Amino acid sequence: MDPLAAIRDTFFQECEEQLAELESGLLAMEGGDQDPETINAVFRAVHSIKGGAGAFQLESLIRFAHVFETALDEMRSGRLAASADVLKTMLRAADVLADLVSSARAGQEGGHPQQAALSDELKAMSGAAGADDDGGEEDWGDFEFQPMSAAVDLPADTPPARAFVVRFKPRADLYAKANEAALLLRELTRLGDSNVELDTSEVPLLTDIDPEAAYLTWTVTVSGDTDELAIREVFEFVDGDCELSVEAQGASEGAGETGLDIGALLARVQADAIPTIETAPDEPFELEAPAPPPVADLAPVAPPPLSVVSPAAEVHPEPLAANQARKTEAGATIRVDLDRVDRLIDLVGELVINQAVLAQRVMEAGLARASAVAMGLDELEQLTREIQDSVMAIRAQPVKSVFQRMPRLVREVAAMTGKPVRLVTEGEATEVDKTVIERLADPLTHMIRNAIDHGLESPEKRAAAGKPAEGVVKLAAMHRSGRIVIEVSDDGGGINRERVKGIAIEKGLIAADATLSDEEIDNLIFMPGFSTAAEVSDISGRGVGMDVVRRSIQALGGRINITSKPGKGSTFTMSLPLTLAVLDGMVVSVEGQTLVAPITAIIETLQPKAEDVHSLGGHARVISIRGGFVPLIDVGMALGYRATPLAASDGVALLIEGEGGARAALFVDAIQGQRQVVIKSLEANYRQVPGVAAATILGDGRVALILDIDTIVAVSRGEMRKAG
Amino acid sequence: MSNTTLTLAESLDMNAAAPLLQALKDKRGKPLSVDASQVRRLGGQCLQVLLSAQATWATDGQPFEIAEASPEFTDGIALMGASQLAAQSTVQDLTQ
Repeated sequence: MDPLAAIRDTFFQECEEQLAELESGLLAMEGGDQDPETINAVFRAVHSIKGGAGAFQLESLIRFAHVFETALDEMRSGRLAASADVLKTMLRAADVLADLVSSARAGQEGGHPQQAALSDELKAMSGAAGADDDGGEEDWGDFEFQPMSAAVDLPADTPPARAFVVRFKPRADLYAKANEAALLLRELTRLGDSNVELDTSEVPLLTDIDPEAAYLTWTVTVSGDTDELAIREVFEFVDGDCELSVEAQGASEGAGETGLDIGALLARVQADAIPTIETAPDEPFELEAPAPPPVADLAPVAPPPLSVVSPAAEVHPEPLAANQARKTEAGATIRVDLDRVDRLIDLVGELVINQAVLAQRVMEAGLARASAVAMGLDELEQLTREIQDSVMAIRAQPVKSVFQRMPRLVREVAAMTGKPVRLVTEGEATEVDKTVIERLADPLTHMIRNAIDHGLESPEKRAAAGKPAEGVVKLAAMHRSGRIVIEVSDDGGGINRERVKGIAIEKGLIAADATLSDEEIDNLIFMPGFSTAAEVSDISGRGVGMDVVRRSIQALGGRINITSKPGKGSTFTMSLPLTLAVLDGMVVSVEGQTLVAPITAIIETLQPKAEDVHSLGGHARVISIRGGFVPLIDVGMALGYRATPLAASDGVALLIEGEGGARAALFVDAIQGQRQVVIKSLEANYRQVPGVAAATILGDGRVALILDIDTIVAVSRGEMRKAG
Repeated sequence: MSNTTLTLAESLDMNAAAPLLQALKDKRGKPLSVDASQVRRLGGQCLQVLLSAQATWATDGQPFEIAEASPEFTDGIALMGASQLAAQSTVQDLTQ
């Protein structure tokens, strides 16, 4: 396999992390975060993406990241104020960057429709930054590195263009690490007018050449509006793999002598402290830029220039070694292939089953509860449970990974609908199994779209109702009794119940004279075929209704509910299992077989009286529950365990709610109890069986099937129709 | 003409340097005409090999020319300041 492909994969994985970091940093800044470390993190994120993209020759990604990074650098150095407008543009740029990354990942290097326009905006921001005076509105006074430039009274005119002579000699390692001299040169020549000279004197004849060695040395003279920092950044990712020297040529005459060139001064101080040029941080050069007037006002409180050298070094790209040290400190994490974790979880599942089997055997052997064996077994059970919890925790992830995709969605939908929206998230750190998280994104996306498109009123209507123009959509996650609960709420007009009922009647979903409670009307929106939008809108109506959301939540073993207050807004509440590896089940018996019904689907259990059960002809039966009728499905017959239905008084009915909110009663022989079971895929180990979702292994070593309630209900309904 | 022609691969990245070297070694001792019209990407290591070949042919007293070059190849040479590789080819092109 191509080793490059593996590196490439890693790059894209890291890109995802960087993009997340980028967005959350920008959002934090939008929310008033003024910590210099935040903007540094944002800058680093874009910078790393650019660097990685360089290694893989992803041209449009590099180009855009570069422009973006330049603008961020202006912001980082305090020359560009982080006003709300600027941050909005930055957030859109982050979106475009994310798109470019994903298209590059898909192997499409075609650019982005908004790329050019946004590049221009960013460039305009970076270009205008020096002259931009509205920085006063945001209080950036305590911005850590700003005082440095203010400490010296620099003239505010633009520095004269200067030239740098860059001597660059790649080592063989540079190529071996999939870096390419040609690309570095290309990036370097982009910085200004350049003249490239190549020294080929070390190239041997064909007989002696090693194709994987490095013989060439380039001397590039770059002139124009650039600085040493920008030049060194080009080579940042090949730091130890090349010989590099950058020398200023014809530097602004006289500046050094008059003592105004603080950059050179600081560089000298740095050079004294650190012997080689290569490793000396070059950031101080950046300080030569003129200080904008508002910043200069801060001069009196500024610390003496020399004392700020080290903080400056901290916030800029550091030498490789220092960088690695910091990374190691920051998070002791390792990247593990998900397959390995899955396998471990699987094995622990086996262990739990095995432990249960052992416990049962010991019981059967008639050993006393207080015997050493039984006690040891109890301890083993506790340990097993702890191991299981810990292993599940490995795969648990904070819902943040899904939540952080939502701000972008909100921005896009807000722009499309013309409704100003603020997204508030809560409980982002709530953890849930990765397998659940992955399947959470689609329903959440749909619900948020729906909340903005249908939930929130137009700004005019909001004004009329005395609400602030900006609507609020809240996304919250919390743990509640062993499950994760996610709420999506809006402060819109709430559900228009009359309209919902009208539509449901019109579409034949309910009878015209049906009397429904408010709650029942609210839940009508989950019915298949229900869509309140008069026209299919671009945003919510993509052929996906709330019934699809409900179905995908149910497929995860979850439930969804809506509560709505007219004029105040609606709240969708989803409750999901924390994992798809174990399940809370009701263990029941049918014709001597042990089956498991997922607890989440069960509303109540009841012992039917013979007079409540009515036959509809054939084997179809209904049961009367509090005045209503629901189909009574004999599980034994549905799965083919028996040919004649069990007498009504001989069994227990489980009232369940299936797909689309339809209720039915599953009729079983007896209930054994409630238990957490380890889910084993039947498809992976045998094949798909209609009516059976999965299997588990019980303490006595027998396999018990986990019922697929929706299929059983659907199949029985079909048969009932045939019979009727 | 008994010129042998060597058509360069599309991507002359680091993986292409070794095969390129071998191909050039095989052609040694005869006048060589290099066809770079297919080249889409030229990297530093392949450039080294080409420069080495040019020098080797010169030592051998044999003609070496870049007969055809794609814009990307020409661009790559210009970018890396290896115009000596292209300069010769221009002269050769003109004399044809």
